[in-house]
Order: sequence, then structure tokens, then C-alpha cells
Amino acid sequence: MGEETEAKFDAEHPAPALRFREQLHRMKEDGWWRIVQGLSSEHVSLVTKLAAKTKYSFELQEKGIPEFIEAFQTIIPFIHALVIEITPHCGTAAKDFGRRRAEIENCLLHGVVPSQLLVEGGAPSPTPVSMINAAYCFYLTRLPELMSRLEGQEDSNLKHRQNLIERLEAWTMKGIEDFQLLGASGKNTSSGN
Amino acid sequence: MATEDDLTALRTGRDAARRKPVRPSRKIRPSASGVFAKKEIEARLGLKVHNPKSLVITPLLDKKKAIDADSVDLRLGTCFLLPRSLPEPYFSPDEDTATSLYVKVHVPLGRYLVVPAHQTVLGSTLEFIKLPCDASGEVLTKSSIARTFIVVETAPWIHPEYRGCLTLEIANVSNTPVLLYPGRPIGQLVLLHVDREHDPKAKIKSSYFGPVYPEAPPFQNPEKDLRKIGVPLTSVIRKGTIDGNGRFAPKRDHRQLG
Repeated sequence: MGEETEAKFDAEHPAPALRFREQLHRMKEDGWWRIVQGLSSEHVSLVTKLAAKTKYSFELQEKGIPEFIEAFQTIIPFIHALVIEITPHCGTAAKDFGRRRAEIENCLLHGVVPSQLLVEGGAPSPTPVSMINAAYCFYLTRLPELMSRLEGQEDSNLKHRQNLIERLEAWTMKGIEDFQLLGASGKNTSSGN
Repeated sequence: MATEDDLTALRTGRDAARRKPVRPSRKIRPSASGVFAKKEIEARLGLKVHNPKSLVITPLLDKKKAIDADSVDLRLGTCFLLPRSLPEPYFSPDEDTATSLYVKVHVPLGRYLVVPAHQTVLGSTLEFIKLPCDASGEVLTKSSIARTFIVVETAPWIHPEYRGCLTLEIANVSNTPVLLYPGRPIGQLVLLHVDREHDPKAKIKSSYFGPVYPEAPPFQNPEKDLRKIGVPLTSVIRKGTIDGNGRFAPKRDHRQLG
């Protein structure tokens, strides 16, 4: 992405820099940034860099787009409040992810669906939000580690990687299905969506 | 090396009893044997997943009822592979099997699958399982299910350290179509001790690693399998279709013909 396009609103999309700034703001408000800012991911530095931009250019100056954006930004907090009202469980999602990420990744590293983690003898399930995010972190950072534990699997082999990525997705989906089942049968005390 | 006396001492039968008792040497340590009892199943379920001796069964719904004195009830999963009617009048297990022989069907919880009389379908357990390094497993049809002429059959053995949902060959051996409801108990998992230790350097076999749906077998073409044991030429039937004029149009096939 070029310097110029980073902060430019085109005919169909807002400037990437503004989108990232809003994303960073939201993550800070919801407690996610504290947890993810330490990840060794290019995405973290990209978000930080783009969120620092405050001046934008507009492809369609004559249609009053800048004024519209300004007006829209003033109502974002109200929209956020309404979203929180209908998804109250999201307030604890970051906390659950921070607490459970290592355990979920440990399950995935051992080729096990992370739907029922054993913590001090109890077995509360991690929330779907935690499972999806932890699985994605695992995909970004630890897939080679899992492949090294398997017979005949090479990290550099595209087909091998693809097969294992599909497995990872299947385990995550199964974990989410199990969460719903455990919730329906009253075995789950975690809140989720 | 184990001596004959060592082995004799480990025997519990009548022959051994007749002989002079011999203390087993330190080279062979008699391990726990037999079937896992409820207490041990629960203890293994309580171990952390990175412990090679841990047992994972998830989701374990209705845990109190699911774990019996010497087995764990398994429920039917929601995905099935149904046999497809093939265009050819035969079936040859080869590299096309996974895509040619089956139709994948998802039956949500609360719905049912009709298994016609005398047909077999592939299903899977709802539970994802990881076996300990020192245990094998056997899947048995629940007796109440077997009495409805449904049999979970033919490949019930599970190796140590296996992980995944278990693929079940479910046969309706009755003369009537039978309804299968995903989520209902269908089998029992019995765990047996195996005298082996976990080798941290050993790699996990990647075939059938961690499936969550029933899986088609990963066959190779027969000529490839047989070449490994020195068979130079293998007869295969060319796959293809016959058009309205009776002409045979071969399917893409580069195989050697015998």
C-alpha cells in the first residue's frame, strides 16, 4: 500500500488509515489491544502506523464526502453503545481470550479440539471468540511446530500446509459446535455468542 | 532380553501355577493390564492434554451416565458418508475412492438419517477422542442399539495416541429402514492397557490425524501398492463412459494396463 493510498478515500471505500484508526480505538476500548499488541505480527505494527495518520485526502471532494465522514464519526460512539447493548458478552471476550489462549493453543498443538479444557479439575469451555482468535494466532505463529510433530509433513510443502490448515479450521469449528452443545446441556458456565 | 522364566512368571494360567514360582527379573516390569475401570478413566480424563497418558473425550455430555464401570458411551455425530451409486458396475479401491464412492451428508441435531435395509453408512462419533500413549481402544455397539439390528462394525480397534472423532461403519442388518438420530448414544469405548512408554522423539502418524468427520480411506492405486512388493504389472479396468453410439470414452487415466 502506497503512502498516498493509505490515507485516501476513494469512490467506494474509506481510507485504510481511518479504518485502522477506528479499529485500534475500538480494540483499546474493549481491552483487546493490551492483549494483542505484544504479538509478533506485522499486523500490529501496520495498525499502529496507520492509526497515527490523521489527515486524509478525498477522491470525490465535490460531493461533500469529507463532511459526511466527519458527521459519521460523531455518531460512532452511539452505534458502539447500541452494539454493546445487544452483545453484552463481548465485554468479557478479551479477558477470556487473554486467560485461555495458551491452553487453547496447547490443545491445537497436540491435535485436540479445544472445547473442554481442563483447568484445576473443572472443565469450563473457552468461548467461541477465544477459540477463533487463538486458532488464528496459532495458524500465524505455530503451524510449523505442529507439522514438525507429524510424520512425513513438511512446512515448505503447500499441500501439507493446506491439509493441516483445513484440520485447524475443522477443530475450531468443532470446538464452537461443542460449546453450543455444552451450553445447551448446562455444562457450560462461560458466556459466549 | 526376556528369559523363558520371566515370561512364565508373568503368566497367570494353570501351567505357570504348576511350576516353581520364579520372581520376574527387573528387565521386565509387569504393568497394569486389562480394561480401564471407571476410576482410571476419570483419572486419565483429569490429566492435562500435554501429558502423554492423558485421555480426552470431548464433549462429554451427561458425564455421570456416560462413564460406566468399564467403558464410556459414545454418541452419534452429525456428518455421514453415504455410498454413491457408481456409473461402473464395480468398485475398485484407488486414489479416486474419496471422491467417487461417497456422498457427504450433514444431519443437524434434532433431525434424522434413514438407513435403508441392508445398507451401511459411514458416520462418526460426536466426541473427539485422544487416547493415552499406553492404551488401545475398542468400539462396541451399544447393546440397546444392537437389538434394533443396527451394528457398528468391522474396524473397531483404535491405536494408542490416536486423536480424532472415530469413523463408524454403521450397518442396518434388518429388513426395515432405520432412523438414526445424531446426538444419541450409539457405541461404547473400552480402553485396554498397552505395555508401552511414550517416545517423545517419535512422530505422530499423519494419516487419519484429527478428523472431525467420517473420512474416506486414503487408498493408492493398486499398481502403486503392488509395485512396492515387486509386482511389475497389475491389471486395472479403465474407467470411462459409453456414449449413445456405444463408444467408450475413457476417463483421464495414465495408468499402466496389464
